[in-house]
Amino acid sequence: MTFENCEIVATVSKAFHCANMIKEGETLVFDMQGRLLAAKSSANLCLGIIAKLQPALLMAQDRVAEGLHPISNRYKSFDCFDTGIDHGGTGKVFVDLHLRDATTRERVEP
Amino acid sequence: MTRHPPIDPYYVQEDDNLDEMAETLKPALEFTDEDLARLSPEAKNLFSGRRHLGLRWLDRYEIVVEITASPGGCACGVAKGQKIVFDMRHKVKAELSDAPLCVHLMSPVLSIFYMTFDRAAEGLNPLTCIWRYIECPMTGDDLGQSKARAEVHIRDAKTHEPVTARVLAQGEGAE
Repeated sequence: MTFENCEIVATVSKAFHCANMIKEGETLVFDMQGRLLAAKSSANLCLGIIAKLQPALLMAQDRVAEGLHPISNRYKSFDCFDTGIDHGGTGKVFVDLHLRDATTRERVEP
Repeated sequence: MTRHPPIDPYYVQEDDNLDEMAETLKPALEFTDEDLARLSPEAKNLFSGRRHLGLRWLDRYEIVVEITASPGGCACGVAKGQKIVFDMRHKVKAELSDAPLCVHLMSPVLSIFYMTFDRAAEGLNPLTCIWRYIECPMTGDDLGQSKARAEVHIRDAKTHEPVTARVLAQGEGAE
């Protein structure tokens, strides 16, 4: 499988005290090149979590080049750059990554 | 309680719970009074930009990333003259952006946004005077000659005029 018609979805698994009002269950959607698809995303487009996902999006391209599923089982959970209220910061957003078919929106599992 | 070493009086002290902006912060961040009290002085400094630039400074400006070159035929379709616009809470304003929202090009902008909060707490123009150029992290085998490059500026969110003054501090209580 080439994964060309796939999208990488970051689903918010937990959020608290987020200044950009990101909520659990909302999503950020990327194409396989690493472009954020604003119209398909339901979360506010906060760079504090988007930028944290950049290495994972690079890794997805590397894994595809090796014939592997784009989402690494070891690197699929991420949190934003804010350290959170208990650690000198303010809020925190956590996301889990998965792959889906861009047309059907069905999950594409490894 | 006094920190050791003590905090410079210019900055937010440990017993300062940002009372004048508490009613704005509490619903926006789902804070209780207790949450506000337990924020670190450093985190309170994040919000203290309102004391220096006015309560609504985050809504007053936008950060614009304008593509200045993309000679290599960027795989993401980023082209010279396009732009990506952010609000001051570092959210992409997709409706004002015409460049592909390439995560690789956008990621370096986060550092600039961290500086905006630091500079606001100092009463300065939020945009760094140094780090105003970014580039795609993909170097390629031509030593980066063909990568996309961009320039960053700050503008008034209403008029879209660039904001160039170094010091933007306003009088206490300014909106």
